[in-house]
Amino acid sequence: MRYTQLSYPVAVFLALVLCSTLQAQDTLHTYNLMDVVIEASREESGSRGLRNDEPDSLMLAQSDQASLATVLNRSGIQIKSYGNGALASIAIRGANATQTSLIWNGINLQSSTYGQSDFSLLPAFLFDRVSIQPGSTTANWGSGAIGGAVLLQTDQPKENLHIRAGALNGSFGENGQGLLLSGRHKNLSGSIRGVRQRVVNNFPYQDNLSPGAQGSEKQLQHAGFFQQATMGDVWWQPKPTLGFSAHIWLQDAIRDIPPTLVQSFSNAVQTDRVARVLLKSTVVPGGYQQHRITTRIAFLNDKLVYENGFSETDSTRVNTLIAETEWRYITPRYTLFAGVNNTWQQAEVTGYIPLRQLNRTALFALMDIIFQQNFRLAIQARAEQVAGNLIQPVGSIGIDWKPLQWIRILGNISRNYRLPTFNDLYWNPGGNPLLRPEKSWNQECTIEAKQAIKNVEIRYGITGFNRQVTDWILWAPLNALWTPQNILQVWSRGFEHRFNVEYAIGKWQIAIQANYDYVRATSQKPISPNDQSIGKQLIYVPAHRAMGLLTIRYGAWGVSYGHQYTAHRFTSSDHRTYLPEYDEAIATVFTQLKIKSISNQPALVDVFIRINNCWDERYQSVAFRPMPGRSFQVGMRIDLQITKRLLNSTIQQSNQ
Amino acid sequence: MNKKLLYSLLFLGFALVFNSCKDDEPLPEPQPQPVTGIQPGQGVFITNEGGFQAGNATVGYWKYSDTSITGDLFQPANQQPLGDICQSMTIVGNKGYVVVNNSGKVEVVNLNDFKRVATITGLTSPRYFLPVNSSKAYVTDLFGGSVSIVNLATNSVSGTISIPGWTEAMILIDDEVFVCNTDHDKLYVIDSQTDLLTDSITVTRGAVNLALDANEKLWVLCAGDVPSAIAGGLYRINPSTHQVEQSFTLTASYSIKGLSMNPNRDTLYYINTDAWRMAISATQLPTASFLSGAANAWYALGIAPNGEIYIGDAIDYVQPSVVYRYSPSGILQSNKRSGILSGSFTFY
Repeated sequence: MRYTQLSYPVAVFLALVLCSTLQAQDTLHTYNLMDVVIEASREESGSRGLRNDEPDSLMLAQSDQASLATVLNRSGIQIKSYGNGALASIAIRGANATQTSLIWNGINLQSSTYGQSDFSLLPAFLFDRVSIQPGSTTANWGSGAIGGAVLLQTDQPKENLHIRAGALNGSFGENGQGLLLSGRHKNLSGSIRGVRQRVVNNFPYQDNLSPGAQGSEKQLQHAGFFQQATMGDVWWQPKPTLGFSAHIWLQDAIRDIPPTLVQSFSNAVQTDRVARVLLKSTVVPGGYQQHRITTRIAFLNDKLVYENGFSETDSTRVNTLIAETEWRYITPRYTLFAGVNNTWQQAEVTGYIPLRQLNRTALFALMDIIFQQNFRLAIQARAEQVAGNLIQPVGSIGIDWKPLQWIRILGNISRNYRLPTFNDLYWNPGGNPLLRPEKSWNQECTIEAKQAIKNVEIRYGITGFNRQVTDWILWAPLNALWTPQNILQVWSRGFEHRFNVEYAIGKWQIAIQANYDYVRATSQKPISPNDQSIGKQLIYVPAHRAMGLLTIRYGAWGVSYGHQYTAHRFTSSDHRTYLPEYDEAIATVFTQLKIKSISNQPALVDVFIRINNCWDERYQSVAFRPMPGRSFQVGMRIDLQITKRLLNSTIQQSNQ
Repeated sequence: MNKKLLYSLLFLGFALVFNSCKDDEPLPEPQPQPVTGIQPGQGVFITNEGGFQAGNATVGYWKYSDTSITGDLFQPANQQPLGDICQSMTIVGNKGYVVVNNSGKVEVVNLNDFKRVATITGLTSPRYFLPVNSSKAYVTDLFGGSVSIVNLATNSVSGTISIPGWTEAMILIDDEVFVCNTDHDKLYVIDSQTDLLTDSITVTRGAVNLALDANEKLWVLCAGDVPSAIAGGLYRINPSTHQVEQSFTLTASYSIKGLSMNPNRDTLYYINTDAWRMAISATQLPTASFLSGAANAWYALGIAPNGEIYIGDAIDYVQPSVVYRYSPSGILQSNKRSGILSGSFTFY
């Protein structure tokens, strides 16, 4: 008797808990320590006041077998591409690739050797969420985030079983496949996904260089690319106050390097291999409901081998171990974070022997305050010690203010730095162990306005930014020896417009997105007595970029047209040579079919046909590396989700 | 409603103000006109390497009577860029053989108007071109592991002579060709009549240039190897006996280059950060430099038939070089802007 009397309230309580967790998808996360959506996370609080850009969700869904280089390029981010599938580096607001951080589930993946990431080697299929922070801060992400950050997230599965399979076929021998399996059961969930991409890249280009050529068409040779990757994720929550997750990422890529337009041939080949493991735990320490302690441990192994085709091989092997603990204290009015991060890096590089290693420890603290419902302020600071030397502490202040319901103002001021890479410090010959970190002052302000009138929703945002970078590291000759020096000073300023209109009526849905970016990034200090580049725009930084995307949907069918404009880019620092402006347009026709499945929901089948570079524009992103002209793609994705109804069965069980 | 309108207008105004704060830079001048009527004795050709894989190699021309150097002879004349890394140029009669290292070719041009006559292809990464008789020439190579034999009548590669490693400058003395082998410590000797390797002479690493003096002795300049700290040197060799008669040691440096002789061939000049000169009869290296280049990046040295000294300053290896012209006694006469990374002077 006593048993059932006690068990009934417990059962109701459990039922309510489970009811709320299963039915209301948002509140699911309140009890889910692994997910960082509702409770203020360091990602969100540390980025207070900065604008966050996300790729168009439809475009992302149709880019299963594309790399992030393609996705970011189509989102209006400046990508410097050496060819289709070739090295693709990011340049935000006139900063270079080493000044942009790549963050995976909260871990900074920045390479210790060359300090930059190749976005062609990041398959979009592996990530559930991608976001770009053009104005990110070192205080949040650590060394390197002077010129922005790209954030990659894998989300915990929501459905009990989810299967996604995708395939793509395209011109120039392109084909790709992807498979995702994920599921959850009680307090355990996981996903595993694999993706494969291959392209031959024998596209035609205009040969203006070979004797007698005079603009005849030639096929690009020795430009193939093959990549395969696997990602596995597991989440386990044995108790409401304890959660664990483990993530593993394995990837292999091999690339033939084609000759440039001024070389007769190339036999160069590059292989990249990656193994990344991340373990995470979150604890609500005994009885202290407002406290959270999150620990992350990551082990990253990277190997790059470059064979120049003349029996010379250069290899780079890097091991990184990151251990970070973060304590969080949550109250209704503010959230406090404090923690420590230790990063150990080791590199074995052909360009310098012996093995080099470096250990760094950083302390960070962040306070995110809610003043009123519509005003938030975050202050953060970080101090790092590198091999016994204390780097000048950095920090940021960010605000997020909604003076009226339809206007939002963001602002952020930060001080940032980037440590020199191992290649800068130790390369033989020329490495400079006395290099200082690059430093910057960044300011950013965004005003966003949103209005909904009947069936039309309009959003418009404008961001102004200003960034001063000093001690920018540049390899330059000193007594006939090339050596990196802290000699460049760059002032970047400009503004970015973001405009969105969405209109829905009946079965029709029309969406327009328009972006315009203006960047003026100039060299401010002479680097040599006869330097002619003072006050001039840095090379490969276009002053203007614009992007437009029109999507029209009627029921299950749709068509989209995207158009991008990139202004001319100077290719020599004294502006004697340049690459001309170019346009690139993409047209897609797509549809979604619903097919009956064994689950209570139909399986969704998305099919699309795409024309890349519709107007067959022949252009170069990097001088003398041709980009493909018009090409075609056909893609398909099958998505099947199964949600079991646990609610009734759970209440029945607890009543017994 | 009015408040909303006011705020919207303020917002638009703010956006417009922002928009007007733009200042754009002008695009560079269009292509120059082709140069014609180049005659012997009027000027010097300057080869400009350009940046690696930047495709901006050029050959410039300093006509003594002009106020400025013509930066690019090849593109205006042939409507195509020259290619990637122009290493050297050799004149044979009224033709120029321009070696374009990273484009794997040698362009054969008419010196009068720099129009292309032929292109020698099938080379890996050529460095220097040397005619050994009226019908053939040798081409050294960086990665190819051999010296190529070129048929001058057909402008095509007719064979190769296998030499391990990187071969650089060459000189022809009495039917023997002496070849610098930069990544080894040897000078190789080829019999130009049989195309066979006959001997090797041990010097040190980093051999870059060769010159013949008035006593018919061969001088070799070696830069050493910086990463492994192997010293460079200057060697005087008897070309008949293949014996090293005298050697001087230099600390390894990337700035050692540009070995040249004055018109009398009794004094030699070279760059080692500064410009140095030494009589061929000297028994030790000069203690003081001839011209100071410490604040710059001196990359090329050449001596005109009238004894004037030309020096190329690479600045930062990315911007156009500056070429200085000095009198034989070392007084600066003039300086002009040249192409990117001026590497050699070919007097015509």
